[in-house]
Amino acid sequence: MKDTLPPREELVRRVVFESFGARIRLESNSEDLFEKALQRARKALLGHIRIIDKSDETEVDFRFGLGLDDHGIKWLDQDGLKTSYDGADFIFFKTFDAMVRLRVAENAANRVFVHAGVVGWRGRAVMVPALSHKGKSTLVAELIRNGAEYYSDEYALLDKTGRVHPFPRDLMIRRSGKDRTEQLLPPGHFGGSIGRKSIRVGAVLFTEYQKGAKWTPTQLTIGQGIMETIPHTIPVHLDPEFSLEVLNKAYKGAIIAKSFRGDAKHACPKILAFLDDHLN
Amino acid sequence: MNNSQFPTARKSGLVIQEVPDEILVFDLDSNKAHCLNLTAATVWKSCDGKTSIQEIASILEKQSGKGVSDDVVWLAIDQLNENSLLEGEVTAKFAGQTRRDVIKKIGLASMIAIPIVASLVAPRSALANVSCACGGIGNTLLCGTAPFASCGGAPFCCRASDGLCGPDDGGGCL
Repeated sequence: MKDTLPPREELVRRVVFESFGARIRLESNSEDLFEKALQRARKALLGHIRIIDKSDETEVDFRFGLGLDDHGIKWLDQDGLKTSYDGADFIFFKTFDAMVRLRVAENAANRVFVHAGVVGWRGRAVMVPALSHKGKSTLVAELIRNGAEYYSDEYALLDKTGRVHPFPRDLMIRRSGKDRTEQLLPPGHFGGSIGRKSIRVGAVLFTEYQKGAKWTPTQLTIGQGIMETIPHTIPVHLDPEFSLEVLNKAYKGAIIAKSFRGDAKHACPKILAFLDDHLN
Repeated sequence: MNNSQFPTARKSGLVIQEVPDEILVFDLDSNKAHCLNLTAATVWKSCDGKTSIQEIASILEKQSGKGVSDDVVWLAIDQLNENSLLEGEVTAKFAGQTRRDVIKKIGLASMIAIPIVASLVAPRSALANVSCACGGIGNTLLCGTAPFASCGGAPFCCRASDGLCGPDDGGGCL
């Protein structure tokens, strides 16, 4: 709870960093946790971190506090919302990783982060916006196996002109069935290469895994495509004007389609054939 | 009070983005996004408080080169009104009839695409994109990413079926 947060003077370590234009304060009452968190943040943001200063005065977009309470239980405070974790370190930092990426995505300047898998195909970006657990990473992995360039399995980073920039974190692959363990695998594991340049959007595919489903795409208009993307557009509630403007530019000239799909291995050749038919 | 024969489009508190043949409107008050197809967009843009329903029908006729009845305009007005995209209150023309019945009736007779205003509520927080982000109890945020999510305890868990917090729907918990 907020009232259990330690007094400011006990937060012995603090830093303000910038990532994609978002300013984040990180502070802790534990030297050890602070160092680990900073290292994790750097990794989670793929090195896109610039330390600004260590003062308490800098204006920031978001604040992370983390530390240990009197009983040695770890806590994570996000702008005043506190969560306690009495489990293993990796659980704590797994949440921290996801949250630090999300808060940067939310507050990034001149970038719109869309929760989506992205690959490059024939020099154009193929975006697959979807919630987690809908088979996004599995499909991205399969597309890479079939020769697509890897851009991201988590975020499409759109600049103000609508071009997509790579955010190539290791792919989070979840096993299906009862044993739903997760594994982070580098794109090289699937035989693919990483896209390095920003590219224009060629296709936007709204597709989720459904047992037994076939890839039978329905084409959407740009407006419909943007509507489908809004729930996956991280900064839309903070800056709808910029978000919509960027999506509009990004989707101009792109093929936008929606369909359920079955197993990624079987759906992938059909999806690629569809892209080959439609990408100019 | 808006004169429903001369409707006025709401302008304040809206973010408007024109896309080819459609208009996207983001309502900052309700946090809703709307997509107006060409017919609905044309009607909305014509709602300046001075143009009558009949005149708006004429504008649609000119745009499409086809005959357009006042009912098509009214169908758009009803939807725009329902989504708070008009100033003041407009008396619904098709009160008591289901949208499906109205569309059936107008759609069969109409030579142009019937007006459609598609809407959705935008997420109020970026946390909507995190699996098993369940909000909080008091100031304590209970969230995480599967399979380590904390969903507030029984009967809630991180569901295997959709990765979201909720009661077990039979598919088990992560």
